[in-house]
Amino acid sequence: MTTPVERKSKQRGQRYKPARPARKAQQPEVIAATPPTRFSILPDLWVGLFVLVLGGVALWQAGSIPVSPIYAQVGPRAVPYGVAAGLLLLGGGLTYVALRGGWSWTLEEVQDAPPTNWKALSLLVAGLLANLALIGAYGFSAAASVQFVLVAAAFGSRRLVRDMALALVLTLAVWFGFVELLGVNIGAGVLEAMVLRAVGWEMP
Amino acid sequence: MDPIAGLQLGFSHALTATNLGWALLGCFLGTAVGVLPGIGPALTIALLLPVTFQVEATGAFILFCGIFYGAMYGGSTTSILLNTPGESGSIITALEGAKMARSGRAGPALATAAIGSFIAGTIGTLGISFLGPIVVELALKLGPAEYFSLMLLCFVTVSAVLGGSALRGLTSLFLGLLLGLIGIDLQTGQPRMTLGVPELLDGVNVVLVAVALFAVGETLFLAWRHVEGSRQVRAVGRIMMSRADWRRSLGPWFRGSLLGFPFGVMPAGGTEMPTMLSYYTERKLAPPEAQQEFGTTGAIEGVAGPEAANNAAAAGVLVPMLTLGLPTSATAAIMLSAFQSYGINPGPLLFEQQGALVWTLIASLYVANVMLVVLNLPLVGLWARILKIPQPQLYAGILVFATIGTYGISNSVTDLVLLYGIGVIGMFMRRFDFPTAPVVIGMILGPMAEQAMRQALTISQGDWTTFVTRPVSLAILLLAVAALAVPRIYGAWMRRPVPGPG
Repeated sequence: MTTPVERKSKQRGQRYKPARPARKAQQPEVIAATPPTRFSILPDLWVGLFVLVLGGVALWQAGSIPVSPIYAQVGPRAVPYGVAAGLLLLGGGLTYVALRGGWSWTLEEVQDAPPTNWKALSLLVAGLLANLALIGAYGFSAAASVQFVLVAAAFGSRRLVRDMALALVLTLAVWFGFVELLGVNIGAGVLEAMVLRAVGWEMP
Repeated sequence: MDPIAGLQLGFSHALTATNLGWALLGCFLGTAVGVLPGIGPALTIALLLPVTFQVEATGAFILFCGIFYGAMYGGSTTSILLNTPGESGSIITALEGAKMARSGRAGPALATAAIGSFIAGTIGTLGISFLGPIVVELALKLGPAEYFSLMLLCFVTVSAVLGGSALRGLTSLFLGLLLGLIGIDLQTGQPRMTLGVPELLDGVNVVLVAVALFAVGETLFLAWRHVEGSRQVRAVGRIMMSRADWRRSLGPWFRGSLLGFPFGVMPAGGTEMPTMLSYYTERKLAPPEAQQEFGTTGAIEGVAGPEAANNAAAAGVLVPMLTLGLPTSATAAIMLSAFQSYGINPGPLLFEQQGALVWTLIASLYVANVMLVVLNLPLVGLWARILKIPQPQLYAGILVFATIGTYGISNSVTDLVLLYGIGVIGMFMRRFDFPTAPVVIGMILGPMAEQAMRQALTISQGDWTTFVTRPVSLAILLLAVAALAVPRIYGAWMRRPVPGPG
């Protein structure tokens, strides 16, 4: 969203001295050869291992693709093997970099990151899970409205009633927009059916 | 078809009421999403892909191109008034633009950005009109082997040349390639990489992945790092540019445009490099009294040049997309998948088989440019008001659109699980500085590259040396190797005095 690019601009300002000549002088540790000790290499190591596991899964899946003898030359397995090999190599490279101190400490955004906001994160995840649980039984608008209220709360909104009203209007408008204008087939849930009955339209 | 005849045909189609309507809608939507932090053109076009089932191809692509161009205009507004660039191409605009806004000159900054965007867009579109047919001529001579090499070059440049680290860029690309492999192999009908899950036989939808990375992942990341507090939107003030502003902007507009367009055309893609180069050029060329303003009160040259370069590069991206079928940005990749859903394959044959469509599209770009400068200058107050949508409701709203865009694909909760799963990966990609665009590009371009490779190998009867014995193919491959190696070597050489891990 907004911050990735902002972060890049910060990095850029650092890498190209003319933009902010004063910066490097103030923060010599940024270009130091070794990471400050307060940075753990564990997170970076997990990333490297994750990519290695991904490569392993890809290799296993590539090996289990059935091959018919007609396509002996360039069958359906060639590229999957290549991608798996690539992922294993890259995962190995990332693990290697992680073991040598990792890269997170070079990222300015990580250096001055605020602490993890568990409240916001858990409210947001709760919103996503609520959506998953409700959308099948109660339809899009009901589920997405619950999600909207929880997500807004995650980002610090405290006006529950106003958010609920907004959520209902927005989700219904979006549903009608997608179904009527774009012709997307999304079954009517409880809320949509109520509105459809109220305006006397047929169920799409 | 020669460009003049093509444009005549194109304008005769583009100036109908319906197509003008699509262009206007696209420009409006594009500016709005460009202004809103959190939504970009790639996400918007991905969410609007269902349009392709309802509307004929010309209308849909005019809409998409309007969004594409509009987002470039809108991005500058966010950079200037909020100091948070909405698109990667606007990073540099934020440097001087935000400083101008802080010293009460937001209006002229917005005006020079809009007019610069118009000039650059027009030059870029002229470039597309006249360069496109030439590239097509050349492209028609390429066989599958050359195409495959060209796609490899594209892979390298979009993932390894730009951004912080080749290792992380390539990892993103390979994640995209892996996602692109999931599903039935088109040539043999064998299921691949499905883990035995029947829902994955149809493959993973690119809309789902784009929405997961650009909307869900980013929102999750922002919640992770959320700090209460509100952002400050600067007042616009008078947008009139003084005579001195005009004089100082004129050179940067044209230099920026001429600098940006070639960068967009080359598969190096991306708008970050040309905007940066333009910024440093203007900084160097500025008269001493203007140089004082750089980095302090904000110099208008530093807005005019990069903003022009940004738009010209964005226009340039359409050249490889339309003539070669090679997407070099996430937005172009999504547009390519829109072409595919019409059963149209962008590439050299597009100009021959779909001449009317292509030229109408190009003509619409001229139209969109005019509309955008009109929409952006007098209506800038409206766009500034959009910026005042509070964060909680904005992100909650983005997730509502993400949900319907994904759920609408097949009404499947499995898709939503996949959406959130990839979203979590996207969140960690943000945290660990993995670029997301290569995932989408790899997903779209990967299957095309595989097809070209297997065609080439079928022609050569399984002889892998075909890629290095054909001179053009070899040349392109060498270029790819150079693109991968040269910046590293150069960087290592530059860093000699202060060695440190990459």
